[in-house]
Amino acid sequence: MRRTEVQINPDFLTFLAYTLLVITGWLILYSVDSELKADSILKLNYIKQLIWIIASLVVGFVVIYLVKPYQIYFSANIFYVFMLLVVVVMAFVAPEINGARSWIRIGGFSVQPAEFLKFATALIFARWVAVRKRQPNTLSKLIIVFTPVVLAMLAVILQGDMGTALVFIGFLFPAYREGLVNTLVIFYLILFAVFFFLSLTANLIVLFLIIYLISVIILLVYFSEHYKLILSVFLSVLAVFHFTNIVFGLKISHLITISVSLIVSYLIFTFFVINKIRKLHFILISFLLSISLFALVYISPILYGKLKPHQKARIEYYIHPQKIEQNYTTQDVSYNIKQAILSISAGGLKGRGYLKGTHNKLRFVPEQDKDYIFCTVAEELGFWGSVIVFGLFLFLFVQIFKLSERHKSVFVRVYGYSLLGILFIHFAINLGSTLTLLPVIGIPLPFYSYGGSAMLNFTLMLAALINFDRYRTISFEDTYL
Amino acid sequence: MRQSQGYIRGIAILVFIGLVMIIFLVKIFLLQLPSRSRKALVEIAKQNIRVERLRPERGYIYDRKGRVLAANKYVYELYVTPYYLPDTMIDVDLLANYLGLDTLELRKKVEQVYKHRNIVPFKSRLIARYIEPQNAAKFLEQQYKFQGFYLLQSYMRYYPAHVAAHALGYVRLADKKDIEKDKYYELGDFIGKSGLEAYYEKFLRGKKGVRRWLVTSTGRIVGPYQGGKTDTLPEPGKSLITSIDLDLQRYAEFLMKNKPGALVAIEPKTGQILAYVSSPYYDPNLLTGKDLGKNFNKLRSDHILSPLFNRPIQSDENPPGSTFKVVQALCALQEGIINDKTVFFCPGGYYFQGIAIKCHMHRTPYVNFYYSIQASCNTYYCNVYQHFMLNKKFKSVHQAYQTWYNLVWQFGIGHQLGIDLPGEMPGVLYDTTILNTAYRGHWGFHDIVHIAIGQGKVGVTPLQLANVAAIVANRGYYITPHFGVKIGDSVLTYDTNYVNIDTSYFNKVIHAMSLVFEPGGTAAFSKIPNLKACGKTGTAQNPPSTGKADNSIFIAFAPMDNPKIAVAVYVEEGGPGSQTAAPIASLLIQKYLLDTIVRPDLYIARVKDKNIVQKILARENAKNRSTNKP
Repeated sequence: MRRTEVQINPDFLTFLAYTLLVITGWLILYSVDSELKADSILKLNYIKQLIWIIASLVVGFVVIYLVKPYQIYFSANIFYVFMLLVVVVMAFVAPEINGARSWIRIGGFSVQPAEFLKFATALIFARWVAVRKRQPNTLSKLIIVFTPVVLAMLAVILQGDMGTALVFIGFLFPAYREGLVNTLVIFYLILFAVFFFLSLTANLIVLFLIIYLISVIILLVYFSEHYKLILSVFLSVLAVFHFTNIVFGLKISHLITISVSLIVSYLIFTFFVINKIRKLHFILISFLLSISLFALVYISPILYGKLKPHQKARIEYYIHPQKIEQNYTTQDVSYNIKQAILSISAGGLKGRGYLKGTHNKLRFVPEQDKDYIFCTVAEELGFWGSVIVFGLFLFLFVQIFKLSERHKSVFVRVYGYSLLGILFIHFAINLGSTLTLLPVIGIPLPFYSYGGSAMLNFTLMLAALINFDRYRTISFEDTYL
Repeated sequence: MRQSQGYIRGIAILVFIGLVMIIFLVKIFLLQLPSRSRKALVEIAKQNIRVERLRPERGYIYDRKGRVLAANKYVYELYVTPYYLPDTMIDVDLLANYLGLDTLELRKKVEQVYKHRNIVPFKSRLIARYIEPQNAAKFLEQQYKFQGFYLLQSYMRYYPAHVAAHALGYVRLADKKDIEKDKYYELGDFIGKSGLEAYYEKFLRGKKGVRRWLVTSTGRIVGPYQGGKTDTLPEPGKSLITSIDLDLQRYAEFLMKNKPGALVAIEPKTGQILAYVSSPYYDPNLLTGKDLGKNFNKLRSDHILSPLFNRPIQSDENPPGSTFKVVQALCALQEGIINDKTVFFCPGGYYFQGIAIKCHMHRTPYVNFYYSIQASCNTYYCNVYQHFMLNKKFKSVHQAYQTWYNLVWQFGIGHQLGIDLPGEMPGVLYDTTILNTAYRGHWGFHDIVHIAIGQGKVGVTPLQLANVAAIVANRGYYITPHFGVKIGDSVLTYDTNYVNIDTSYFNKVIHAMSLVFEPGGTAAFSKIPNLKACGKTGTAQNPPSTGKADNSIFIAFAPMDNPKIAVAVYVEEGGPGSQTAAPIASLLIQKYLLDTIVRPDLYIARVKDKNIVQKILARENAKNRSTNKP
């Protein structure tokens, strides 16, 4: 194979997206920490971050220009095993900081090996999927390729770092792209996540109405040619139940009415409408769904009761956001959420001006240079600034998508989607927590939050992708076998 | 085919990402709507900006000659910043010793600070107030031993003259109610609570300055907010010049010592109050500083002598006694009921429909107008009142009473005079409507006859009595009595009130009042040589069941032709007016007009050894002892 002849220049737009994110991220970090004073400039967060950025750039360029793709491809397994071991060993020996054993101190800098585990997992996952690309997508294949992902997740959980563990959900992106999981499964997974949170304290009737509606929508999407029939079956069943309820004065709760009508309509529909092959599949899924949702609804309050007060408060404020504004000054567990929301609101549409956002700078917002860094964007740059930052992230996401799709190898495509998934989960959970759209889960915003390991890891992952892209006409898994 | 399906899935992922981003942006947009943004900025300012109020110095209060009555003293407040505290407990005993504070109390406070030291650790906590400068000096020498503690200068009210407590009032720290009522105040501010301090509060307190600091969530100061552009300096309170004559006030208090009652001296021409005593009085400095609460409770719990009772303006149920005859004579002259030649026969008492009012012995039973005042004949004024009330020119007693009421009302009786002190009482004077209600329309002369001699249904405050003296001295008008002469640079003006009685009648009454000091007059003993003074004694009876002696009353003004001072003296349980009140008034007039006491014998004989307070206390104690017996 003529390996050197197919080199192409690194993708400029991807590098641009990365650079813009890093520069804006550092400027925001500088703004947050500019009020801090330290006896040595090396103790200032923005200086430390700058050193990390420079180091990342150097390593990034090395990876882009000097490393050959096969070197990465072949070291994936060893790299993964090594990182997994490091993380697992650390879970037992590292000092506990904020409830997690995930930091090692090297010199003046703290390093979080779990960050690099993401990279390693993405590589091994991509390689394993690529190797099995000609096998049909069966359950056994799914289990095999997801084994390293699940192991990595468990290792991170062992460290006590729930936030980082959630990031591995991002591997659903490449799995979905490659057809390893179908749309219905994704839908059910999302549904499950939503219901888990909603069922914690929300009203049961509302919950069942939502279940009912979503089920209708799923069926409509899935069997769109029968939409009239589906709708009429659902509505008539619901109407019959309500009618009997009213006429006979039965004191059957809405909850039972709706759930029974849901199940009955599923049965009617599956028996009379769907062809034989799909019938079994569908009856199974609908029963499983109903039973598991029931179970969820009844189990979750019990789970909720076992949570710690601060966890309860997080969920409480997540479900009843209006409570946040009632009292800004009480120093209870909701303090963080309140202050974050307050600083975002203060920004207004135009923002208070760069370096002028007092609430973050004066450290009223907790973790203002880490998990809550976006508050400073919102406070100082306002809504329009937030739109621009979102735009930069979208720009990067689209670039990763582009690079993944245009490559000839399945390996790079899967790797690219893994990177996209990891970055997006970071982005979504971080902003979801900050904006109270999710319960608070501590996770950094890529390129913005203070933290060298994450910066280095994301740079490395992106550099690897750009490196792969330079050889986009080669199918790695075919060439390197 | 498979490839393109995968690509569509990739697009679906991007669309999903886009949707999530849009949801986030909508949420951000909703959070940042202008209405919410404005509210958040206000809330943020509350947390980010520490507003430091700079307290102005309270305005001074001066007497009429510029001598200081109320001033401020520098004291220190002890603060602590928990962040700088050493980890081990500081030596509280030593600190208390240096600062002259109570060790137990200090220990409790310091322990509290240690307990909550991690909550906003840079925010200073107040530990103690009113630290004397000499103690502060001791502390400053040894400050290195008390890391985190520091002193700040502040003011404390101080009354260098130690007099006129009831006129000056007192200041104390504003409580929650004050803060709710007026946004000017916050915790730690002083507010005038009574007397002139309260009445002129808005001028005396001054205007606060503001300093705004940017602070972090731990309370550490980052720097001035907006570079100090919004900061302002405090404006000190305006000074109040009062009409009090410090020498006279001192002397008046000296005279009233051990005699519960009141003394008011007014300059008739201006309505300015020269001396104002409520006895028993106390040193106004008792109600300042850290012992305020303790002393206040002590004064308040004295139910026998009630030293906090502001007698000159609040003791309004006391009958004026015979001093009221001056008013009666003027009203009767004005209405033509009598003239200066009217003579009534006094058989030693007045009898009407079973009512008997005794008269005391006087030189002759044929009492003419001048002699009626000079000798204070009860019978004469009962007859005058009878002729007034039952006069044919009125349709009924009710109409006659209403006519009389309208005249008396003009003397400032039965309503507030409008003195510049809070809490003034109106006195007792009923109009026909009230009497009709009380008697259900059926009342006659026999129900009100005691008013003739200033007993029964009439009550005046000592201030109103002094004001009556001033009206007579002015021959028919008075200027609202007051203390405030000048506040800051502006001179205060007051209303002139006229009494609808002819000046010639005043002259007749004044002539009669001048005879009171002459031989045969009730106050002949208190005569001032070489000074023509006018006066009228009064003796108000206490209900016999109480066992109290009569109240001694005297009103006077001098000199007769160009009056410079009008006085009312009211001594509770002082006996006849001539015995206690008249000598006091006489001595006061001597002091003011002659600047020397020309009758020291008067003081020695009638004032010096009269310890009525002791008598009252002895009686009350005996009463308590007898009731406590099983």
